[in-house]
Amino acid sequence: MKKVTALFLILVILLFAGGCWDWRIIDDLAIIFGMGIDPVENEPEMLQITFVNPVFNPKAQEKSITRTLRGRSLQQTLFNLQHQKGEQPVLGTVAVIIFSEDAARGNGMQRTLMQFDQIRDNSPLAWLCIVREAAAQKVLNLNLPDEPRPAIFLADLLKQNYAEGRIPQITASTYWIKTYTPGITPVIPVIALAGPEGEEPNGILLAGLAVIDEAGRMRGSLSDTETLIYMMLAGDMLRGRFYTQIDFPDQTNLVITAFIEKSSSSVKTKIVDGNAVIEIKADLVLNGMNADLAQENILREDVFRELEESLARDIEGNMRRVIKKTQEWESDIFGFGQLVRAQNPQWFKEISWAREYSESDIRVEAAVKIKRLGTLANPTR
Amino acid sequence: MISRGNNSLSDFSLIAIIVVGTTGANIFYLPRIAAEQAGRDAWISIALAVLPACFIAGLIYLLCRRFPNRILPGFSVLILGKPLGVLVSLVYIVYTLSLCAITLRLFIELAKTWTMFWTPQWFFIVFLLIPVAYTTLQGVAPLGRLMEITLLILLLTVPLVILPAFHQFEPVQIRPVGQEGLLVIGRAIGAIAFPYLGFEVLLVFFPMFAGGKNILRLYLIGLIAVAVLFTGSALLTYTVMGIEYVRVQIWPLMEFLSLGRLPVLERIDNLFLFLWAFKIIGLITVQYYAATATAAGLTGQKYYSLWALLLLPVLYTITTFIGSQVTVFDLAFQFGLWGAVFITVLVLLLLLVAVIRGLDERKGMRKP
Repeated sequence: MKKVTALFLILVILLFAGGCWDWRIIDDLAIIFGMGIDPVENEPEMLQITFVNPVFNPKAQEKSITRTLRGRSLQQTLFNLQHQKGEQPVLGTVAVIIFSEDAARGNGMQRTLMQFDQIRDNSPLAWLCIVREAAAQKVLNLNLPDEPRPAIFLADLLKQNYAEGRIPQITASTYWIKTYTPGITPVIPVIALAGPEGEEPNGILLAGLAVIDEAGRMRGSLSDTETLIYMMLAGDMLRGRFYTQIDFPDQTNLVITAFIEKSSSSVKTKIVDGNAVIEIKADLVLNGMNADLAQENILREDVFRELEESLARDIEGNMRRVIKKTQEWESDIFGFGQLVRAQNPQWFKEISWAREYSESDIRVEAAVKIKRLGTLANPTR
Repeated sequence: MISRGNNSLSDFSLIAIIVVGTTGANIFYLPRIAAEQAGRDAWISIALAVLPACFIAGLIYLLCRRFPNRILPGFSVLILGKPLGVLVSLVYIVYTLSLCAITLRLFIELAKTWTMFWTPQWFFIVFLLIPVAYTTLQGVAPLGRLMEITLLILLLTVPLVILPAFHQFEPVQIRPVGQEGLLVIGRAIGAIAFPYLGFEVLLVFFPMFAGGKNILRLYLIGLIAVAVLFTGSALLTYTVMGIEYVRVQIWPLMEFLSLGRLPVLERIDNLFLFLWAFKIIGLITVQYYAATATAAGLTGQKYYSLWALLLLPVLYTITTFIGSQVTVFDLAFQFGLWGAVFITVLVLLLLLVAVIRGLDERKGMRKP
């Protein structure tokens, strides 16, 4: 047993000996936790990349430093960063990568992500987002009242909203997995700058989802409400809340907020006359709802049934509208194509799914089950 | 002749030696080469590849039980005569050393790509070979214990492999099952033979197992455990990352592991690699012991320690002789194919001649 123990100790000691060559001192590293990518005007090959890294010096005035550099590739920009800062940049802890809308609509996003993917110590779990009508550089230089580091604030914002079921988890790795997988294209959360009217923005808000096509370019975006419909159709809704407006007997445009307990959908596909026919059946279980219903007593079977039917019709309509939008952009963000491939593999091998998707006959049927409403029997009295 | 005495191994040691002696650095790229060959049905090919291995394992058992106190050089000389028996043993030594060298190089390629970019190759080889030589010099009993510990370390890695699959498991990625057809699935088995090589060490370890009756059962349990490990890790990799993304990754399992994260553990991939280093040392130790014992069997047991030291520079030279990353993968593929052929032919030849000549030491030998 002594021999085995000695051997085991030799092994452990030797395993750490590799550090003789690959040691890194944390103070000598530029640990990047946020990156922003913008295009350079009139120079399509160039990228402008903003890096944020923390400051470890306790006497420093700022908690983090933001540097913006230009280069033909991410690697070249990182070299330039090292020349400027003298510290070795490391990407293993990047929490968020922000793209300006211009970079996302051009080839800047796909290019940068491909280069990021090839860096051996990258952070595959870095969140991705696209900023609407602003430069990514601006987001990383914001003066936020409650968090001095916008990159950390943004990463937390995305994480929280994912946990609340309001956006999907889109990281560098999920982006690539969806890009490579036939029958699905990626989405990326969209953010916008916010602040008091007429003043410099000092906040960030989520503003929907960007729809990316097969070539890795942003084709359009879904609104906040449409994002929830996407979540239901893509099967990404773990739990969450949604609001909508429905028509109810004696009430029009009735605003409803509902808590989703369970959202599931089944998809059947078939090929008819060379075209894909996709039949979606979505089931939604609601647990708790806020609605100003003008009823004497809402605890009645017929009120529940009427609400369920109205909501189902509303959700069906919204689903059709969102699907139609993505069909126009030839971007199957829901991954219906994966099911078409699995159910009709031979047909799928011979077609281009992006084009077929835009011409597919997609039928939607929604069913809603309300388990319970709010706390008032007559909310409008 | 090998005397059991203090050199006997337990039942658990047998399973440990088979599992540890078989699964090397190949697990990191197996999902890619299988996906290149069999597409969405690659996991079926990986699972089915255990069947020919089990068949050969059965033949090895039938051969070895005829000579319960002899190892390969002993019974090969007895069966084939001295010149041919010695030649067969020498080829087996070259085979095991090559298996060690390719495994070592594959692991170095991975470690240098993933985490230890600047650490020189010689250090990896020396660092991995010191415990190998030490264990081999100590004999078979410490080797058995070390393999048991290594198997337990291997079990620690299982939750690490499962972790990244949470919330990301997409069974549609491997549907429809059987789409590629039986021919493609079957053909892929040949291409993924290398990962399963190593189980034939029973040719050398057989006399050391005390519980002689259960050897075949334990041998097959070990092989099935290897198949479960290979198939399970590949299946999770495919269902999380998709076949198409796996195909473009040089080390798909490491990419897959990099997707997992715990609040206290940021890089699961690096921890896995660290733990797997024990596994690599285990595999090389098992194979290196087989080479040393075979060499000692040819020249006499008193030269065992000498061979344990003499073969080290040979292994070092073979390992450094292998060129670039391309050569390493190509060699692994070729070695897998021809190594499987060599082991099959060797075992079939020895068994057939032993049966024809009625050589069976359990019943008392017929005079050859």
